[in-house]
Amino acid sequence: MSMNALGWAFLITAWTFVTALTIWCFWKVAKAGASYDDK
Amino acid sequence: MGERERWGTRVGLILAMAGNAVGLGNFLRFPVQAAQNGGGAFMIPYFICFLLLGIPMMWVEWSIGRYGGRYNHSSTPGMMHRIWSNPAAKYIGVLGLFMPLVVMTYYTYIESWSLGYTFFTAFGSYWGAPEFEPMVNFLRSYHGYTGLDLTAPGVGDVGISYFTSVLPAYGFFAITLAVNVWILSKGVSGGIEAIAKIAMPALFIFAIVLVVRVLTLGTPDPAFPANSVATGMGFVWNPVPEALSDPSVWMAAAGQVFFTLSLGLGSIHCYASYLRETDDVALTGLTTAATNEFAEVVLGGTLAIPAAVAFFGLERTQEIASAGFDLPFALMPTLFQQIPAGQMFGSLWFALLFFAGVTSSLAMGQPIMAFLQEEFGMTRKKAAVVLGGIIFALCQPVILFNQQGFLGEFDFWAGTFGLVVFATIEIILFAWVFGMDNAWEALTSGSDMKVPIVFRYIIQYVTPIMLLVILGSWVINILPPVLRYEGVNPDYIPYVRAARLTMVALFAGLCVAVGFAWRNRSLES
Repeated sequence: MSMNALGWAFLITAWTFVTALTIWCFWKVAKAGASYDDK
Repeated sequence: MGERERWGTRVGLILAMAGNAVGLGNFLRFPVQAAQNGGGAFMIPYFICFLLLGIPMMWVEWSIGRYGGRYNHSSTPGMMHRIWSNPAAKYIGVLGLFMPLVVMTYYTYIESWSLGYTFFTAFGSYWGAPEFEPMVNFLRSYHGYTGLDLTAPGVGDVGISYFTSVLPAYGFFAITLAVNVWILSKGVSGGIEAIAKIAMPALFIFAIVLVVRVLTLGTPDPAFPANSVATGMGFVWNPVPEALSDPSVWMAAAGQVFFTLSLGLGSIHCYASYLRETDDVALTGLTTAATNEFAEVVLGGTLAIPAAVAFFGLERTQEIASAGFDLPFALMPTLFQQIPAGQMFGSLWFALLFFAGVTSSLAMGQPIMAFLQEEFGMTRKKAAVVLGGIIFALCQPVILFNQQGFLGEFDFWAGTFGLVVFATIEIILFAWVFGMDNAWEALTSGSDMKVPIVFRYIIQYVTPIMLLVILGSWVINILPPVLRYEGVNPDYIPYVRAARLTMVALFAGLCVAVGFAWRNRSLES
Protein backbone atom coordinates (compact mmCIF):
# COMPACT_ATOMS: atom_id res chain seq x y z
CA MET A 1 0.00 0.00 0.00
CA SER A 2 2.28 2.74 -1.23
CA MET A 3 1.00 6.26 -1.74
CA ASN A 4 -1.55 6.28 -4.55
CA ALA A 5 -2.54 9.23 -6.73
CA LEU A 6 -5.47 10.15 -4.51
CA GLY A 7 -3.25 9.93 -1.44
CA TRP A 8 -0.85 12.39 -3.04
CA ALA A 9 -3.75 14.63 -4.03
CA PHE A 10 -5.05 14.73 -0.44
CA LEU A 11 -1.58 15.25 1.00
CA ILE A 12 -0.71 18.09 -1.38
CA THR A 13 -4.10 19.80 -0.89
CA ALA A 14 -3.94 19.54 2.91
CA TRP A 15 -0.32 20.68 3.15
CA THR A 16 -0.95 23.57 0.73
CA PHE A 17 -4.05 24.72 2.63
CA VAL A 18 -2.38 24.62 6.03
CA THR A 19 0.89 26.18 4.86
CA ALA A 20 -0.90 28.92 2.91
CA LEU A 21 -3.14 29.72 5.89
CA THR A 22 -0.14 29.90 8.23
CA ILE A 23 1.85 32.13 5.87
CA TRP A 24 -1.16 34.39 5.25
CA CYS A 25 -1.74 34.78 9.00
CA PHE A 26 1.88 35.66 9.77
CA TRP A 27 1.96 38.04 6.79
CA LYS A 28 -1.14 39.82 8.16
CA VAL A 29 0.40 39.91 11.64
CA ALA A 30 3.63 41.39 10.25
CA LYS A 31 1.64 43.97 8.30
CA ALA A 32 -0.39 44.94 11.35
CA GLY A 33 2.71 45.11 13.56
CA ALA A 34 4.53 42.32 15.32
CA SER A 35 4.21 44.20 18.58
CA TYR A 36 0.88 45.41 19.92
CA ASP A 37 2.53 48.74 20.58
CA ASP A 38 3.08 49.16 16.81
CA LYS A 39 -0.62 49.69 16.25
CA MET B 1 -2.73 44.85 43.48
CA GLY B 2 0.08 46.06 41.20
CA GLU B 3 -0.16 46.86 37.52
CA ARG B 4 -1.69 44.06 35.47
CA GLU B 5 0.73 41.77 33.64
CA ARG B 6 0.84 42.07 29.83
CA TRP B 7 2.39 40.21 26.93
CA GLY B 8 5.57 41.81 25.62
CA THR B 9 4.98 41.24 21.90
CA ARG B 10 2.29 39.78 19.71
CA VAL B 11 4.72 37.23 18.26
CA GLY B 12 5.53 36.16 21.83
CA LEU B 13 1.83 35.68 22.57
CA ILE B 14 1.32 33.72 19.32
CA LEU B 15 4.24 31.43 20.16
CA ALA B 16 3.06 30.96 23.76
CA MET B 17 -0.50 30.24 22.62
CA ALA B 18 0.74 27.91 19.84
CA GLY B 19 2.94 26.24 22.46
CA ASN B 20 -0.18 25.66 24.52
CA ALA B 21 -1.82 23.88 21.59
CA VAL B 22 1.15 22.01 20.09
CA GLY B 23 1.75 18.91 22.15
CA LEU B 24 1.91 15.15 22.05
CA GLY B 25 -1.44 15.07 20.22
CA ASN B 26 0.02 16.75 17.14
CA PHE B 27 2.81 14.23 16.69
CA LEU B 28 1.09 11.07 17.89
CA ARG B 29 -2.68 11.30 18.09
CA PHE B 30 -3.26 12.94 14.70
CA PRO B 31 -1.52 10.42 12.42
CA VAL B 32 -3.11 7.52 14.31
CA GLN B 33 -6.57 9.09 14.02
CA ALA B 34 -6.07 9.81 10.32
CA ALA B 35 -4.83 6.31 9.57
CA GLN B 36 -7.67 4.65 11.50
CA ASN B 37 -10.43 6.85 10.07
CA GLY B 38 -10.15 6.82 6.33
CA GLY B 39 -6.62 8.09 5.63
CA GLY B 40 -6.68 11.10 3.31
CA ALA B 41 -10.50 11.05 3.37
CA PHE B 42 -10.26 11.91 7.10
CA MET B 43 -8.97 15.32 6.01
CA ILE B 44 -12.40 16.26 4.64
CA PRO B 45 -14.30 16.01 7.96
CA TYR B 46 -11.15 17.19 9.75
CA PHE B 47 -10.96 20.50 7.87
CA ILE B 48 -14.74 20.98 7.95
CA CYS B 49 -14.60 20.55 11.75
CA PHE B 50 -11.61 22.89 11.89
CA LEU B 51 -13.69 25.59 10.16
CA LEU B 52 -16.96 24.99 12.01
CA LEU B 53 -15.72 23.97 15.44
CA GLY B 54 -12.02 24.74 15.88
CA ILE B 55 -11.76 28.32 14.63
CA PRO B 56 -15.09 29.49 16.16
CA MET B 57 -14.26 27.98 19.57
CA MET B 58 -10.77 29.52 19.48
CA TRP B 59 -12.32 32.91 18.82
CA VAL B 60 -14.93 32.42 21.55
CA GLU B 61 -12.27 31.57 24.14
CA TRP B 62 -9.97 34.43 23.07
CA SER B 63 -12.90 36.84 23.22
CA ILE B 64 -14.06 35.67 26.65
CA GLY B 65 -10.47 35.90 27.88
CA ARG B 66 -9.87 39.45 26.68
CA TYR B 67 -13.30 40.50 27.97
CA GLY B 68 -12.54 39.04 31.39
CA GLY B 69 -9.14 40.74 31.43
CA ARG B 70 -10.94 44.06 31.14
CA TYR B 71 -12.24 43.39 34.68
CA ASN B 72 -8.89 42.04 35.92
CA HIS B 73 -10.02 38.40 35.71
CA SER B 74 -7.52 35.90 34.32
CA SER B 75 -9.33 32.76 35.37
CA THR B 76 -12.68 31.51 34.22
CA PRO B 77 -14.78 31.86 37.44
CA GLY B 78 -14.50 35.64 37.12
CA MET B 79 -14.95 35.55 33.35
CA MET B 80 -18.11 33.44 33.52
CA HIS B 81 -19.41 35.79 36.24
CA ARG B 82 -18.91 38.72 33.84
CA ILE B 83 -20.74 37.16 30.91
CA TRP B 84 -23.59 35.77 33.06
CA SER B 85 -24.53 37.69 36.19
CA ASN B 86 -25.88 34.66 37.99
CA PRO B 87 -24.38 33.32 41.25
CA ALA B 88 -23.98 29.90 39.58
CA ALA B 89 -21.78 31.29 36.80
CA LYS B 90 -18.61 31.45 38.89
CA TYR B 91 -19.03 27.78 39.84
CA ILE B 92 -19.30 26.83 36.17
CA GLY B 93 -16.04 28.71 35.76
CA VAL B 94 -14.49 26.40 38.37
CA LEU B 95 -14.22 23.88 35.51
CA GLY B 96 -11.60 26.18 33.99
CA LEU B 97 -9.49 25.79 37.14
CA PHE B 98 -10.22 22.16 37.88
CA MET B 99 -9.31 20.77 34.48
CA PRO B 100 -5.99 22.53 33.94
CA LEU B 101 -5.00 21.59 37.49
CA VAL B 102 -5.80 17.89 37.06
CA VAL B 103 -4.40 17.71 33.54
CA MET B 104 -1.23 19.53 34.58
CA THR B 105 -0.76 16.93 37.31
CA TYR B 106 -0.38 13.98 34.97
CA TYR B 107 0.86 15.96 32.00
CA THR B 108 3.89 17.16 33.98
CA TYR B 109 4.59 13.53 34.81
CA ILE B 110 4.40 12.46 31.15
CA GLU B 111 6.52 15.48 30.25
CA SER B 112 9.14 14.24 32.72
CA TRP B 113 9.29 10.90 30.84
CA SER B 114 10.37 12.89 27.76
CA LEU B 115 13.10 14.58 29.78
CA GLY B 116 14.23 11.24 31.18
CA TYR B 117 14.24 9.59 27.77
CA THR B 118 16.21 12.49 26.28
CA PHE B 119 19.02 11.52 28.67
CA PHE B 120 18.50 7.74 28.39
CA THR B 121 18.77 8.07 24.61
CA ALA B 122 21.73 10.43 24.63
CA PHE B 123 23.64 8.10 26.99
CA GLY B 124 22.41 4.91 25.30
CA SER B 125 20.85 3.49 28.50
CA TYR B 126 18.63 1.08 26.59
CA TRP B 127 20.94 0.57 23.62
CA GLY B 128 21.51 -3.00 22.50
CA ALA B 129 17.91 -4.28 22.53
CA PRO B 130 16.26 -3.04 19.33
CA GLU B 131 13.03 -4.97 19.87
CA PHE B 132 9.65 -3.64 20.94
CA GLU B 133 8.95 -5.90 23.95
CA PRO B 134 12.16 -5.08 25.86
CA MET B 135 11.48 -1.39 25.25
CA VAL B 136 7.96 -1.77 26.70
CA ASN B 137 9.51 -3.51 29.71
CA PHE B 138 12.11 -0.72 30.01
CA LEU B 139 9.27 1.84 30.05
CA ARG B 140 7.22 -0.17 32.54
CA SER B 141 10.21 -0.64 34.85
CA TYR B 142 10.78 3.12 34.70
CA HIS B 143 7.18 3.54 35.85
CA GLY B 144 7.82 1.16 38.74
CA TYR B 145 5.52 -1.59 37.45
CA THR B 146 5.63 -4.84 39.36
CA GLY B 147 5.23 -8.35 37.97
CA LEU B 148 7.22 -7.72 34.80
CA ASP B 149 8.79 -10.72 33.10
CA LEU B 150 12.35 -9.44 32.84
CA THR B 151 14.01 -12.84 32.55
CA ALA B 152 12.28 -14.30 29.48
CA PRO B 153 14.82 -14.71 26.67
CA GLY B 154 14.42 -12.07 23.96
CA VAL B 155 11.64 -10.29 25.82
CA GLY B 156 13.21 -9.31 29.12
CA ASP B 157 16.66 -10.84 29.36
CA VAL B 158 18.32 -8.94 26.52
CA GLY B 159 21.40 -7.50 28.20
CA ILE B 160 20.08 -4.08 29.21
CA SER B 161 19.59 -2.75 32.73
CA TYR B 162 16.02 -2.19 33.82
CA PHE B 163 14.96 0.17 36.58
CA THR B 164 14.53 -1.43 39.97
CA SER B 165 12.47 1.37 41.52
CA VAL B 166 10.35 4.33 40.59
CA LEU B 167 12.97 6.70 42.05
CA PRO B 168 14.48 7.85 38.71
CA ALA B 169 10.95 8.66 37.48
CA TYR B 170 10.44 10.66 40.69
CA GLY B 171 13.71 12.50 40.11
CA PHE B 172 12.86 13.54 36.56
CA PHE B 173 9.35 14.49 37.66
CA ALA B 174 10.75 16.71 40.43
CA ILE B 175 13.11 18.43 37.96
CA THR B 176 10.31 18.94 35.42
CA LEU B 177 7.95 20.36 38.03
CA ALA B 178 10.70 22.66 39.36
CA VAL B 179 11.34 23.95 35.81
CA ASN B 180 7.63 24.66 35.36
CA VAL B 181 7.32 26.40 38.74
CA TRP B 182 10.44 28.47 38.08
CA ILE B 183 9.21 29.65 34.67
CA LEU B 184 5.75 30.44 36.03
CA SER B 185 7.27 32.43 38.89
CA LYS B 186 8.96 34.67 36.30
CA GLY B 187 5.58 35.85 35.06
CA VAL B 188 3.71 36.01 31.78
CA SER B 189 6.16 38.10 29.78
CA GLY B 190 9.40 37.32 31.61
CA GLY B 191 8.71 33.59 31.98
CA ILE B 192 6.13 32.02 29.67
CA GLU B 193 6.71 34.35 26.71
CA ALA B 194 10.50 34.23 27.02
CA ILE B 195 10.49 30.41 27.08
CA ALA B 196 8.01 30.17 24.19
CA LYS B 197 10.29 32.34 22.05
CA ILE B 198 13.07 29.77 22.52
CA ALA B 199 11.14 26.50 22.79
CA MET B 200 8.77 26.92 19.85
CA PRO B 201 11.38 27.73 17.17
CA ALA B 202 13.55 24.91 18.62
CA LEU B 203 10.58 22.53 18.45
CA PHE B 204 9.91 23.39 14.80
CA ILE B 205 13.60 23.06 13.87
CA PHE B 206 13.84 19.66 15.62
CA ALA B 207 10.63 18.51 13.93
CA ILE B 208 11.80 19.59 10.47
CA VAL B 209 15.18 17.82 10.95
CA LEU B 210 13.33 14.65 12.00
CA VAL B 211 10.87 14.89 9.09
CA VAL B 212 13.78 15.08 6.64
CA ARG B 213 15.37 12.07 8.35
CA VAL B 214 12.13 10.06 8.19
CA LEU B 215 11.48 10.91 4.55
CA THR B 216 14.98 9.72 3.64
CA LEU B 217 14.62 6.39 5.45
CA GLY B 218 13.33 4.73 2.27
CA THR B 219 13.11 0.95 2.71
CA PRO B 220 15.37 0.14 5.67
CA ASP B 221 15.35 -3.62 5.10
CA PRO B 222 15.39 -4.58 1.37
CA ALA B 223 14.26 -8.10 2.39
CA PHE B 224 10.89 -6.51 3.32
CA PRO B 225 10.16 -4.07 0.48
CA ALA B 226 6.63 -3.43 1.77
CA ASN B 227 8.06 -1.94 4.96
CA SER B 228 8.87 1.54 3.69
CA VAL B 229 8.22 5.20 4.38
CA ALA B 230 6.08 5.29 1.23
CA THR B 231 3.84 2.57 2.70
CA GLY B 232 3.66 4.55 5.96
CA MET B 233 2.67 7.73 4.14
CA GLY B 234 0.12 5.73 2.16
CA PHE B 235 -1.25 4.36 5.46
CA VAL B 236 -1.79 7.91 6.75
CA TRP B 237 -2.92 9.58 3.50
CA ASN B 238 -4.48 7.12 0.99
CA PRO B 239 -8.21 7.92 1.14
CA VAL B 240 -10.91 5.39 1.92
CA PRO B 241 -13.97 7.18 0.47
CA GLU B 242 -16.48 4.96 2.31
CA ALA B 243 -15.22 6.46 5.58
CA LEU B 244 -17.05 9.70 4.79
CA SER B 245 -20.45 8.07 5.30
CA ASP B 246 -19.41 6.70 8.71
CA PRO B 247 -20.58 8.99 11.58
CA SER B 248 -17.80 7.71 13.84
CA VAL B 249 -15.22 9.16 11.43
CA TRP B 250 -16.85 12.58 11.73
CA MET B 251 -16.88 12.25 15.52
CA ALA B 252 -13.20 11.31 15.47
CA ALA B 253 -12.40 14.34 13.29
CA ALA B 254 -14.35 16.68 15.59
CA GLY B 255 -12.62 15.19 18.63
CA GLN B 256 -9.17 15.56 17.09
CA VAL B 257 -9.74 19.21 16.14
CA PHE B 258 -11.08 19.91 19.61
CA PHE B 259 -8.20 18.36 21.52
CA THR B 260 -5.40 19.55 19.28
CA LEU B 261 -6.40 23.18 19.82
CA SER B 262 -6.58 22.72 23.64
CA LEU B 263 -10.15 23.99 23.69
CA GLY B 264 -12.34 23.88 26.78
CA LEU B 265 -9.40 23.89 29.19
CA GLY B 266 -9.30 27.46 30.50
CA SER B 267 -5.75 28.16 29.30
CA ILE B 268 -6.68 30.15 26.18
CA HIS B 269 -8.96 32.39 28.25
CA CYS B 270 -6.17 33.00 30.72
CA TYR B 271 -3.52 33.90 28.12
CA ALA B 272 -5.96 36.15 26.23
CA SER B 273 -6.85 38.01 29.43
CA TYR B 274 -3.42 39.65 29.43
CA LEU B 275 -4.35 41.56 26.26
CA ARG B 276 -5.51 45.15 26.30
CA GLU B 277 -9.09 45.99 25.37
CA THR B 278 -7.95 47.40 22.01
CA ASP B 279 -5.67 44.49 21.08
CA ASP B 280 -6.68 42.15 18.28
CA VAL B 281 -7.92 38.66 19.08
CA ALA B 282 -9.33 37.50 15.73
CA LEU B 283 -6.12 37.47 13.67
CA THR B 284 -3.89 36.43 16.57
CA GLY B 285 -6.24 33.56 17.46
CA LEU B 286 -6.41 32.39 13.86
CA THR B 287 -2.60 32.54 13.59
CA THR B 288 -2.13 30.28 16.60
CA ALA B 289 -4.69 27.82 15.20
CA ALA B 290 -2.92 27.81 11.82
CA THR B 291 0.49 27.30 13.45
CA ASN B 292 -0.90 24.34 15.37
CA GLU B 293 -2.37 22.87 12.19
CA PHE B 294 0.98 23.20 10.42
CA ALA B 295 2.68 21.32 13.26
CA GLU B 296 -0.03 18.66 13.12
CA VAL B 297 -0.84 18.09 9.45
CA VAL B 298 2.54 18.77 7.84
CA LEU B 299 4.97 17.68 10.57
CA GLY B 300 2.94 15.35 12.79
CA GLY B 301 1.60 13.28 9.89
CA THR B 302 5.12 12.65 8.63
CA LEU B 303 6.97 11.55 11.76
CA ALA B 304 6.13 8.63 14.02
CA ILE B 305 3.75 6.53 11.91
CA PRO B 306 5.61 6.50 8.56
CA ALA B 307 8.87 5.78 10.41
CA ALA B 308 7.26 2.98 12.40
CA VAL B 309 5.78 1.38 9.27
CA ALA B 310 9.19 1.52 7.58
CA PHE B 311 10.74 -0.55 10.38
CA PHE B 312 7.92 -2.68 11.73
CA GLY B 313 5.46 -3.03 8.88
CA LEU B 314 1.85 -1.99 8.65
CA GLU B 315 0.18 -4.61 10.81
CA ARG B 316 2.54 -4.27 13.75
CA THR B 317 2.31 -0.47 13.63
CA GLN B 318 -1.50 -0.58 13.64
CA GLU B 319 -1.38 -2.88 16.62
CA ILE B 320 1.06 -0.69 18.55
CA ALA B 321 -0.48 2.64 17.52
CA SER B 322 -3.63 1.86 19.49
CA ALA B 323 -1.56 1.34 22.65
CA GLY B 324 -1.28 5.04 23.58
CA PHE B 325 2.00 6.14 25.09
CA ASP B 326 3.84 2.99 24.08
CA LEU B 327 4.32 4.59 20.68
CA PRO B 328 6.65 7.45 21.61
CA PHE B 329 8.32 5.82 24.58
CA ALA B 330 8.68 2.21 23.45
CA LEU B 331 8.37 2.07 19.69
CA MET B 332 10.52 5.07 18.84
CA PRO B 333 13.47 3.95 21.02
CA THR B 334 13.33 0.62 19.18
CA LEU B 335 13.51 2.48 15.90
CA PHE B 336 16.29 4.86 16.90
CA GLN B 337 18.53 1.90 17.67
CA GLN B 338 18.29 0.85 14.04
CA ILE B 339 19.28 4.06 12.26
CA PRO B 340 22.69 5.73 11.93
CA ALA B 341 23.20 8.54 14.49
CA GLY B 342 20.15 7.14 16.28
CA GLN B 343 21.22 8.52 19.66
CA MET B 344 21.31 12.05 18.26
CA PHE B 345 17.98 11.80 16.40
CA GLY B 346 16.40 10.02 19.35
CA SER B 347 17.49 12.74 21.76
CA LEU B 348 16.08 15.35 19.37
CA TRP B 349 12.74 13.49 19.29
CA PHE B 350 12.41 13.37 23.07
CA ALA B 351 13.65 16.96 23.46
CA LEU B 352 10.97 17.94 20.94
CA LEU B 353 8.31 16.19 23.03
CA PHE B 354 9.70 17.82 26.19
CA PHE B 355 9.54 21.33 24.69
CA ALA B 356 6.04 20.63 23.35
CA GLY B 357 5.08 19.43 26.85
CA VAL B 358 6.59 22.34 28.79
CA THR B 359 4.90 25.02 26.68
CA SER B 360 1.58 23.19 27.21
CA SER B 361 1.93 22.59 30.96
CA LEU B 362 2.83 26.25 31.55
CA ALA B 363 -0.49 27.17 29.94
CA MET B 364 -2.24 24.80 32.33
CA GLY B 365 -0.50 26.27 35.37
CA GLN B 366 -1.12 29.92 34.59
CA PRO B 367 -4.92 29.95 35.26
CA ILE B 368 -4.30 28.62 38.79
CA MET B 369 -1.46 31.10 39.29
CA ALA B 370 -3.72 33.93 38.18
CA PHE B 371 -6.54 32.75 40.46
CA LEU B 372 -4.24 32.64 43.49
CA GLN B 373 -2.74 36.03 42.70
CA GLU B 374 -5.97 37.85 41.89
CA GLU B 375 -8.36 36.32 44.40
CA PHE B 376 -6.02 35.65 47.32
CA GLY B 377 -3.51 38.46 46.81
CA MET B 378 -0.51 36.12 46.58
CA THR B 379 2.73 37.26 45.01
CA ARG B 380 3.80 35.51 41.79
CA LYS B 381 6.51 33.56 43.56
CA LYS B 382 4.23 32.44 46.37
CA ALA B 383 1.50 31.42 43.92
CA ALA B 384 4.05 29.41 41.91
CA VAL B 385 5.26 27.61 45.04
CA VAL B 386 1.67 26.86 46.16
CA LEU B 387 0.83 25.54 42.67
CA GLY B 388 3.98 23.41 42.68
CA GLY B 389 3.03 22.00 46.09
CA ILE B 390 -0.50 21.12 44.94
CA ILE B 391 0.76 19.44 41.77
CA PHE B 392 3.42 17.55 43.71
CA ALA B 393 0.85 16.26 46.21
CA LEU B 394 -1.71 15.34 43.54
CA CYS B 395 0.92 13.56 41.45
CA GLN B 396 1.87 11.12 44.20
CA PRO B 397 -0.96 8.66 43.47
CA VAL B 398 -0.46 9.21 39.73
CA ILE B 399 3.16 8.07 40.03
CA LEU B 400 2.62 5.33 42.59
CA PHE B 401 -0.60 3.91 41.13
CA ASN B 402 -0.06 4.51 37.42
CA GLN B 403 -0.27 0.76 36.83
CA GLN B 404 -3.64 0.68 38.60
CA GLY B 405 -5.13 3.32 36.30
CA PHE B 406 -4.88 6.60 38.25
CA LEU B 407 -3.38 8.50 35.31
CA GLY B 408 -5.89 7.10 32.83
CA GLU B 409 -8.79 8.08 35.07
CA PHE B 410 -7.55 11.68 35.44
CA ASP B 411 -7.03 11.83 31.68
CA PHE B 412 -10.53 10.60 30.85
CA TRP B 413 -12.53 12.84 33.18
CA ALA B 414 -10.49 16.05 33.19
CA GLY B 415 -8.45 15.77 30.00
CA THR B 416 -11.13 14.44 27.70
CA PHE B 417 -14.75 14.46 28.86
CA GLY B 418 -14.53 17.62 30.99
CA LEU B 419 -13.19 19.67 28.09
CA VAL B 420 -16.22 18.95 25.92
CA VAL B 421 -18.57 19.72 28.83
CA PHE B 422 -16.93 23.07 29.57
CA ALA B 423 -16.72 24.10 25.89
CA THR B 424 -20.40 23.30 25.35
CA ILE B 425 -21.46 25.33 28.37
CA GLU B 426 -19.23 28.29 27.60
CA ILE B 427 -20.31 28.71 23.98
CA ILE B 428 -23.97 28.58 25.00
CA LEU B 429 -23.37 31.19 27.71
CA PHE B 430 -21.34 33.36 25.33
CA ALA B 431 -23.60 33.23 22.28
CA TRP B 432 -26.99 32.96 23.96
CA VAL B 433 -26.79 34.39 27.49
CA PHE B 434 -24.18 37.10 27.00
CA GLY B 435 -25.92 37.65 23.67
CA MET B 436 -24.67 37.37 20.11
CA ASP B 437 -24.46 41.15 19.63
CA ASN B 438 -22.18 41.48 22.65
CA ALA B 439 -20.28 38.34 21.64
CA TRP B 440 -19.65 39.63 18.12
CA GLU B 441 -18.49 42.97 19.52
CA ALA B 442 -16.15 41.13 21.93
CA LEU B 443 -14.63 39.23 19.01
CA THR B 444 -14.34 41.95 16.39
CA SER B 445 -13.37 45.03 18.38
CA GLY B 446 -9.75 45.97 17.68
CA SER B 447 -9.53 43.25 15.05
CA ASP B 448 -6.72 43.31 12.51
CA MET B 449 -8.72 41.18 10.06
CA LYS B 450 -12.25 41.27 8.81
CA VAL B 451 -14.02 38.35 10.42
CA PRO B 452 -16.44 36.91 7.82
CA ILE B 453 -20.02 37.56 8.95
CA VAL B 454 -20.88 33.90 8.39
CA PHE B 455 -18.96 33.10 11.58
CA ARG B 456 -21.53 35.05 13.58
CA TYR B 457 -24.09 32.42 12.61
CA ILE B 458 -21.63 29.56 12.95
CA ILE B 459 -20.82 30.65 16.53
CA GLN B 460 -24.48 31.10 17.38
CA TYR B 461 -25.92 27.95 15.83
CA VAL B 462 -23.53 25.52 14.16
CA THR B 463 -20.76 25.17 16.77
CA PRO B 464 -23.12 24.76 19.78
CA ILE B 465 -25.11 22.12 17.89
CA MET B 466 -21.93 20.27 16.92
CA LEU B 467 -20.73 20.32 20.53
CA LEU B 468 -24.11 19.15 21.83
CA VAL B 469 -24.04 16.26 19.34
CA ILE B 470 -20.50 15.29 20.43
CA LEU B 471 -21.42 15.56 24.12
CA GLY B 472 -24.65 13.60 23.59
CA SER B 473 -22.86 10.87 21.71
CA TRP B 474 -20.32 10.56 24.51
CA VAL B 475 -22.94 10.49 27.23
CA ILE B 476 -24.82 7.73 25.40
CA ASN B 477 -21.95 5.63 24.06
CA ILE B 478 -18.85 6.20 26.14
CA LEU B 479 -19.92 7.12 29.67
CA PRO B 480 -22.03 4.06 30.61
CA PRO B 481 -19.23 1.48 30.20
CA VAL B 482 -16.79 3.79 31.99
CA LEU B 483 -19.18 4.21 34.91
CA ARG B 484 -19.64 0.42 35.03
CA TYR B 485 -15.82 -0.05 35.19
CA GLU B 486 -15.95 -2.15 32.03
CA GLY B 487 -12.49 -3.29 30.97
CA VAL B 488 -10.98 -2.40 34.36
CA ASN B 489 -9.02 -5.12 36.16
CA PRO B 490 -11.24 -5.97 39.22
CA ASP B 491 -8.20 -5.60 41.50
CA TYR B 492 -7.79 -2.03 40.33
CA ILE B 493 -11.40 -0.85 40.81
CA PRO B 494 -10.69 0.57 44.31
CA TYR B 495 -7.87 2.67 42.82
CA VAL B 496 -10.11 3.92 40.03
CA ARG B 497 -12.75 4.83 42.62
CA ALA B 498 -10.08 6.63 44.68
CA ALA B 499 -9.04 8.60 41.57
CA ARG B 500 -12.66 9.66 41.01
CA LEU B 501 -13.09 10.63 44.66
CA THR B 502 -9.87 12.65 44.52
CA MET B 503 -11.27 14.60 41.57
CA VAL B 504 -14.64 15.15 43.28
CA ALA B 505 -12.86 16.41 46.42
CA LEU B 506 -10.65 18.69 44.34
CA PHE B 507 -13.61 20.15 42.46
CA ALA B 508 -15.47 20.72 45.75
CA GLY B 509 -12.37 22.35 47.25
CA LEU B 510 -12.06 24.71 44.29
CA CYS B 511 -15.76 25.62 44.58
CA VAL B 512 -15.22 26.47 48.27
CA ALA B 513 -12.16 28.57 47.33
CA VAL B 514 -14.15 30.45 44.68
CA GLY B 515 -17.05 31.00 47.11
CA PHE B 516 -14.60 32.29 49.73
CA ALA B 517 -12.95 34.63 47.21
CA TRP B 518 -16.30 36.05 46.15
CA ARG B 519 -17.35 36.63 49.74
CA ASN B 520 -14.14 38.58 50.28
CA ARG B 521 -14.80 40.57 47.12
CA SER B 522 -18.29 41.54 48.28
CA LEU B 523 -16.95 42.48 51.73
CA GLU B 524 -14.29 44.64 50.10
CA SER B 525 -16.78 46.36 47.81
